[in-house]
Amino acid sequence: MIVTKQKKIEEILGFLGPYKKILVVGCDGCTQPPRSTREADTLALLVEMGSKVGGAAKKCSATTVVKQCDNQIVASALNPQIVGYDAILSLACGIGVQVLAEILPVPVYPAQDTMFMGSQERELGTMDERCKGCGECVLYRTAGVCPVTRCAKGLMNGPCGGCFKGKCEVTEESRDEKGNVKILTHDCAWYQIYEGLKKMNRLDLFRTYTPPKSRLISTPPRQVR
Amino acid sequence: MEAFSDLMKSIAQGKFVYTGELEPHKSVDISEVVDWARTLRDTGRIVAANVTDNPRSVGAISSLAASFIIQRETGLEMVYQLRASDRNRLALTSDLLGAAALGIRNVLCLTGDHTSMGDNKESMPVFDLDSAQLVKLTHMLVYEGKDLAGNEVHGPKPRINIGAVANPGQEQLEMEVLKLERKVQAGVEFIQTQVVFDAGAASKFLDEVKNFGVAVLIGIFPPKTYAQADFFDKYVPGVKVPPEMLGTLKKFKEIENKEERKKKINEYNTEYFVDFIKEIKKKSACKGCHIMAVGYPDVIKPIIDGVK
Amino acid sequence: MEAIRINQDYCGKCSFCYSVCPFEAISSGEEIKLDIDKCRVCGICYSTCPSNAIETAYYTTDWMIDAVRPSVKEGIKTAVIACRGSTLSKNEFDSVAGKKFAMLKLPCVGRVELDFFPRAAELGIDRIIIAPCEDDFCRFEVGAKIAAARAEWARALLKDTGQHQEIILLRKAIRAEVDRNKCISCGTCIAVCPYEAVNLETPGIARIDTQKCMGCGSCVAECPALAIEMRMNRWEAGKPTLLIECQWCEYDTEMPKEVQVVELPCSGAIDTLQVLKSLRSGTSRVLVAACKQEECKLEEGSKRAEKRISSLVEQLKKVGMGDAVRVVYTSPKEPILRMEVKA
Repeated sequence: MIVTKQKKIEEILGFLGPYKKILVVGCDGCTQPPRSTREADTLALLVEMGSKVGGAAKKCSATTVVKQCDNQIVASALNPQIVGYDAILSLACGIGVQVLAEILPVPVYPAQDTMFMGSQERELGTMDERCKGCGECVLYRTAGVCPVTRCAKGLMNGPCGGCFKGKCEVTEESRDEKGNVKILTHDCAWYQIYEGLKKMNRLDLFRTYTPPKSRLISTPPRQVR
Repeated sequence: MEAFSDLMKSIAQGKFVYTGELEPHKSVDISEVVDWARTLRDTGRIVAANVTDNPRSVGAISSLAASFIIQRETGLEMVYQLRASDRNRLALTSDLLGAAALGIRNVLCLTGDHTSMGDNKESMPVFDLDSAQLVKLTHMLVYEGKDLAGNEVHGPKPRINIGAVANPGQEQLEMEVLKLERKVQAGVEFIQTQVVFDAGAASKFLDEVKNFGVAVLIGIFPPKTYAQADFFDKYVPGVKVPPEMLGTLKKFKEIENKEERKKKINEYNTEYFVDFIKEIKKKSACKGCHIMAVGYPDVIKPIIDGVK
Repeated sequence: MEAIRINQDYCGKCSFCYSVCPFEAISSGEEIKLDIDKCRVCGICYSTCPSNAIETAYYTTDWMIDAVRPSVKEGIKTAVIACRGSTLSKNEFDSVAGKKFAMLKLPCVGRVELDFFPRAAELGIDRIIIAPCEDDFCRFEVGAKIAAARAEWARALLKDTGQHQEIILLRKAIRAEVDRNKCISCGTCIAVCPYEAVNLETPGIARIDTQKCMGCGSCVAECPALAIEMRMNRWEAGKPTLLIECQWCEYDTEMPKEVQVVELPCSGAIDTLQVLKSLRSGTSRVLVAACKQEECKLEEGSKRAEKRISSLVEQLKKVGMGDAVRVVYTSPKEPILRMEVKA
């Protein structure tokens, strides 16, 4: 799913300053956590309450769309609803915000900071980046571990010299009291790749030199037909 | 493989070689480093010295500039360290051509520490290439006269020997050996390793790589004080100091007389590393030692002489 | 008056209370002792004691008789004794009880003594509808089962003694239900449910297994699409002070009239959006009463509530209403709530 973090309410109130009638639009799509009706209603109330503290008094309403990344769905669902509003606050990821901005005649503002495409680990309550959309998936030769998103350096011939007991020295979690010993807790992706390939009996994939990525594939603007 | 540098020529002649380490800082005046280079040169035993490139991602004077200056001032051959953390393949190509034009004859191809670990943490971490790919780039320039995209170098090809790094202390040794195999496929010619204290560990590594046809220089670090040794053992990941060494150095701390203490430590280090080097010399892959100790000239000559 | 205690003068040392206590709060031996720290004030020991040796501050038989007396005076002859856990409002009994009846909502019908039935009959109540929770739904493990068994026993007893009283037993439970049209298949309910009672059946709409659902309301409170409902009190903002309470954290029957009281099956069901709506429509103070975390009857519901409310308070601080919501952790053992409300 697309992982987003909600912007601080102060920031949102900041850029919504001059507006008086705001439509808060949620998205039922793939953001995690989903920013649907509940979040839209909540944010609409908070923005109204916040506007009493400073800035122009606001009247906010909330609605939601099944997904904001599709221009037809957006046009048909929202065009009828935006009459009378002078701004839109979108709870979608950056994609939805841009689609709305393109289609609707009213300024659109983002309520989220979109972070990455990732998966959720329910037990630990964490969300981790798993895909960068690099356009050259190498998961077939890395035992299902992506080095682009899970290796700090994005290496193709890893690990580097910073792999200690299977952990990565780049993402140290903490230091001891003297500030010396680094306590490493993040797995080295290439160590995991090595272990995975060994288990699969495919170390032939590990020992082969991999040439550099083509950065052309990930250079914006990108489009697929 | 052609031997362009004194380092590689000595190895080709069957000599056991020694290299040293130079670490310039964030400055335009590197006279201190030049002095240390002179000291190394004057031991008469060091064939080349490495110049670090933004070590630990702490910004320093360009290793290319520093290598040129030091080699020019002292005549000591340089091993130009080039890391992939800060430059894309175009810039790396420019620098390699520049190095060759400036008379630098060895390059050590590194991936490099991540930029977030240094003193400009918010820099963009480039890593357009990794160390194996940098080896490949260098090999293509030197032996095919082409860059990675196949474009031809105008005129004569650069004449540089190609080095990379390995870590005999990597717990998962098989993984380290396979890594080296990739670099061999890419065209690496010599290896300088991370610091090792245990001759057994170094020997094991040398056995595993003996069929690769690469010259391996084992990194050593004679500790000047117990504190240094302790620091390595406790805080530098992947490096283990034998308890016997720690114990002995600790005992020496009790010697009141500073001169006497220094003498004892120097003697101990000399004996220890002479034995160490004699041991690793037995392995066919081992062609020399890379002495990392900066600012500890007293033991270099005794150790090297003791080995003969 | 203490929440519950054993009066040793009347205690016959039969140990019945010890054997029914679901929380091992009673120890038998030379003296029958009640450990108030382990006690959850379910009242089951009170209703089981054959010697009337257990005294409680809440819902005694005397109190219950007094509570229905005014209705009897008005000619009402039907009483509904329902569990807080199984019942929301009087309307649920219209079809069974008819238009006029007296209703008492208790925290666990297992606390009702056998004595209540003949005494009520004597008073003039000739029909009692007793509505404990379903067996597996009982917050006090055995209360509902005991209540059901007691109702049967009462029925037999009254028949044998020739008294006219119809006793109807209705087992109920308040469970969550998914509105299939609103579900966005995000899976949040599955992650939140402590009883693994939800799954996403094809084509991806959430489905709640009624055998497993314990009506804690966590999924209702967290569903991003507001697609799950539980017949809990949804409320419109009414008065300046709002008390949202877990219905198990206090047994006080009277709150000051200026306070709007909303009862939840568990503090884990607290819906912060509803709280915000109230604050936006005239409520200026919200007091949340929850069970202490170690006494939560429904798997960390109280813990979840704490997290949700602190999040809300953080947001409220930024819009100038940081003091509007307060939480108090209490239990029937410490009847402090009325004082807190006044404060």
